[in-house]
Amino acid sequence: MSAATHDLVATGSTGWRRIDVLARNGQIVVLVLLAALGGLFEPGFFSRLNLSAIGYQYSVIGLIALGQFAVILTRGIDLSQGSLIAISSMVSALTVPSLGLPGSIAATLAASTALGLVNGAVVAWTAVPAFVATLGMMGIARGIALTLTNGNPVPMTDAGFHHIAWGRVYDLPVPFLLFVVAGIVIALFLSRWPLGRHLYAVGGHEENARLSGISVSRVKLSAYALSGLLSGIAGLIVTSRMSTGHPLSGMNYELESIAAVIVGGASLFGGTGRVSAVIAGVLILGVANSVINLSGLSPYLQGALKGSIILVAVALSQIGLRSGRGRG
Amino acid sequence: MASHGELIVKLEGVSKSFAGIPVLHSVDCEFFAGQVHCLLGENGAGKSTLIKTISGAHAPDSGRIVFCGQDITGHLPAWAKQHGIATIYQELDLIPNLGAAENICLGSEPRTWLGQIDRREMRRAAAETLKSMELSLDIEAPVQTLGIAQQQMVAIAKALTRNNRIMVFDEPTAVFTKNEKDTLFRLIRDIKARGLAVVFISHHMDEIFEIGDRITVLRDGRVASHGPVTDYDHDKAVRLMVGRNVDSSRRVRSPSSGSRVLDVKGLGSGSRVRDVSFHVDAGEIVGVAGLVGAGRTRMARLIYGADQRTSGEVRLRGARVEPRSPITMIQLGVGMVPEDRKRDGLALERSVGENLGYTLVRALSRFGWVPWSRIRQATEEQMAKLRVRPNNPSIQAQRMSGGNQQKLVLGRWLMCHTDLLILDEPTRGVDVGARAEIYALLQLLRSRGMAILMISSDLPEILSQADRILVMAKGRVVGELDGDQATEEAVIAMAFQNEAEAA
Repeated sequence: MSAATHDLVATGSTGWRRIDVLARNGQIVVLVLLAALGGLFEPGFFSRLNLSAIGYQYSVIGLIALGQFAVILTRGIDLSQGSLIAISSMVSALTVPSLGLPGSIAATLAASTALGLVNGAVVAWTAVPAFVATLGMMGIARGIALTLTNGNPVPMTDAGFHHIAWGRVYDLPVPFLLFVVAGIVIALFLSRWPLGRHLYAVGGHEENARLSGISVSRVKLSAYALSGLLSGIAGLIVTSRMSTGHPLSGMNYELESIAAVIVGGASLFGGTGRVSAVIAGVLILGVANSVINLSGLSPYLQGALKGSIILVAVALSQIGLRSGRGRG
Repeated sequence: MASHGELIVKLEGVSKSFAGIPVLHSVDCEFFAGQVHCLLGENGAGKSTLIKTISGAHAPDSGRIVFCGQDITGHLPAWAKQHGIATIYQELDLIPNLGAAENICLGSEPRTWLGQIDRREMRRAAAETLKSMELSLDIEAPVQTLGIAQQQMVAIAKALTRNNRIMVFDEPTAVFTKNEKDTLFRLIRDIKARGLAVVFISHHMDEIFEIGDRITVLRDGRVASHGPVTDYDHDKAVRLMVGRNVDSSRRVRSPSSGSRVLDVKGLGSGSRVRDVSFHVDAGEIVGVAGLVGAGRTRMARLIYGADQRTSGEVRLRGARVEPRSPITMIQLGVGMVPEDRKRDGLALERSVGENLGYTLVRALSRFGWVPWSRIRQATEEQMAKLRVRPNNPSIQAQRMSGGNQQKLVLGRWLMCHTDLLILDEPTRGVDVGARAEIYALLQLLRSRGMAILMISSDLPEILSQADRILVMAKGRVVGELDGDQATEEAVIAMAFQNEAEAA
């Protein structure tokens, strides 16, 4: 080994470490700044009511963002999440009279996971790109949800169902706890379990992952199934919140979840990102949304402002990466 | 080789074609335990396809593959891997965003009783293997941050940790220094002694005679010859591969008559390129030698505007220029063929014809009207001139061999008005026959008055092609040699002496 190569390794790895630390803390820094700003200018920001509202709304987005992250890691995308939420909402409300609470939850999660598996199967076994496959599912699932009752909402008849969205454990809202638990489980899954690591491998270099003996189709099926399952849980929360199964629920939620993953620093080209940053990305969107709401800004401008925040966040992280990585 | 071990892999009449183009033609081949079996052939002769049928990446159209007495035809890469067929591909089978430790264990991660990855055991196993290869590197850093030679070593380490019966090396030494090559050969001898079969592909004849036991020569997808290595010598092997005689001797140099094209003074960029000054005349090839990491590529990128310099000036034909971006420099008549032609030089998904023809669109179009038939005609003429094989403009560029891809890239610059061409490792991974053709192309460009700056780690290449040789070490030009008088020893001495002083 020549001195030159040693030198190269050393700079390469410390350079990486620095970026790593920056990337990991970047979202947290932005999050803390945003929250501080919110607290400073909007007295209502840290109120119990407001935090509960963020906690509810962004737990739903957070759950599907975790699924979206798993899919994006494999260099895919899941546009069907919002429609899967709608189907889950309808299935839970329609089955609860006959199956009871546990049965209805099981049926809902089974249905959403199965539809996720269909996404995965199309992506893994046909040449249809993920964008198109899940765009198709987006239309199909929404169509089924609407057809079930001719577009009418279905009242949720089970009283126990109420607790999924409104219940509290140790004063923490149940949806928030579900999000946190899912986040921890998925973080462990992605960092410690072979299948989780293989999501990174497939997104990093699919052909090489295949040549290394990884079953690429199994990995993709798992990612889309996970996204389906989490959309199902999100659907249960939404239904419980409204006490209604609604075929139009979850509209455009997939766009929020994609935005959260990207603000969380994951690459749309797959293979990079970490759960903690994605969670921070979700909370950044949640806090930003709340601050914008409290500020009394015209609702017509809110979308534009949110879009700008996403663009700036991603542009900043890209500039950081580029200047940090350098060229050989 | 009178004594050899058990028959590990046997190919019987294996044929394979892609998109109707036959690549392998009823190939028979046997690989024995305890032997290094070398595959020879020009790029495009079918070596890579042959080994991919062994690894399961391609299923043969006809014929049988027998592994340890069992017919495994139609097997999958995962099966091959689990059953002891390891392949170290030229395009490394690493996952760029994962660390060395994870890559080495990928697909067979050590697990705890919970089914979790046992990270400590994974790191220990990886570190141990790398240590046995006399390699020290950060096993957590994503492998894309490592040098290419180290990535190659990680890929080999990955194969070594598995319980394999046969190991296939597809041009492992293309990116290695002599020390790294010696380490690899020590490893291969060790693997062989452990009773594994080894398949070895290299374009360097001396390596094949150093490490090989048996040789199979492929030409146009057929076995042209096979036998023990002692039956061959350099010339015979090359003749069989190419089917004609290749003249690799030094050409006669004529002094450059041309005017000054490129003049660089005090060029610098941080600590990686420092105070570099030199010039290149029309009709001259200037070679840049040095160790990997000496700053050669960086220097070239500064001139081409791909990176920004921090000091110095660049003059083209006497006029001061500002290399702000590659577009600026292309418009000023500067071309560059980067080292990684697959990533930076070609649109791999598109056809050969399109890759060549697009350069003509602007030149031949009138008032926005694009004369496709004329472009097609010009492209076909150009392909014939470049001897691109297969001579079929509608084939995808990624289906071509490395040498033929390189001809396409060079051909593009030939077709537009370029005064100065910068080449970075123009024949890396290119076989003997295509190499001779690329050299002929370079000499043609030179005789037309082009100024050429050629970075190369291949000393015989620099010595045979360059009119003058610059030697770089630690970001500086540490010497200049006349092409006629330079020797390998002189270049190496300069590069290493200065490397040692600087370190």
